[in-house]
Amino acid sequence: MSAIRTPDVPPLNPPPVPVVPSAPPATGAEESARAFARDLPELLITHAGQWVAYSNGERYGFAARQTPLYVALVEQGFAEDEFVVRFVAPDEAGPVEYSPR
Amino acid sequence: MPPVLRALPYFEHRTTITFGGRTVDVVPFQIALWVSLARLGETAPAPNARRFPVVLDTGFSGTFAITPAQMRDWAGIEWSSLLLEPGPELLYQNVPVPHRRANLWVYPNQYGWRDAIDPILPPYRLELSRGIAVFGNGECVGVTATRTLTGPRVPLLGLRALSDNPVALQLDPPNRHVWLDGT
Repeated sequence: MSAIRTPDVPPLNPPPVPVVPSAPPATGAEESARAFARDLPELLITHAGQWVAYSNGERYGFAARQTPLYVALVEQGFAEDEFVVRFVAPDEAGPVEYSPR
Repeated sequence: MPPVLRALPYFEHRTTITFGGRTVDVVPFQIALWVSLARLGETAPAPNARRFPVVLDTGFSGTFAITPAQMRDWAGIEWSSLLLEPGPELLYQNVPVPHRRANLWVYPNQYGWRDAIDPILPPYRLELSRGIAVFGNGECVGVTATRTLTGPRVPLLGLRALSDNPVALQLDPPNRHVWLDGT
């Protein structure tokens, strides 16, 4: 006796697809932080101990200190939420050991 | 290397620091020093920058931790006026704490004195790659769960902050002194 197969017919009134509000677009600083995280393994080999700036996800340059990079970016018209300036060192997420005193 | 802290003393007994009309306790063997908050790009402290004491805590693995109330009352800055510093989440008591974009000015002490600022030596700018952590006082600081966190009694300066900067830190335990030199 063969099994009776029912055709794959979509229901007449399919449930509505839930609308998930989209996340706000990433700022240039967030894109830049992701680009820094992506490049960090390479930077630790080539530029450890230096500061590096990223604006809108693009690498901008290196310097021995943070402030010259920051000033150069601002003078070129970048807004603060478009860039990050980071020290090239291992940068791990995770718990911070902290005891309130 | 220009000196920043010269024979900065710490004590075997409880001491107090009075500033801005308030007094805070410093418990035995805590290293207290004076700082002000800096916005990025500053090449000198702002004229209205407020100096306040912090504890140098080499066991604290963050950069700098301060409560919203200390920011307002001690530093004279609202935490919400500082930009978020995006990056990997750092967890305090298992709560992700957003970090804010800021640096610190460290004020040189007069040789051998803790609470007397040297009027000649310039303050040293500590550049913080990850910014500062603001939490405590039952306040929501960007993430609701930060309400549950206990903030520091006195702001804490961690070793991570010093490690982003070309400084040399020396402890002289027999004499209860701390030295910090910068470039």
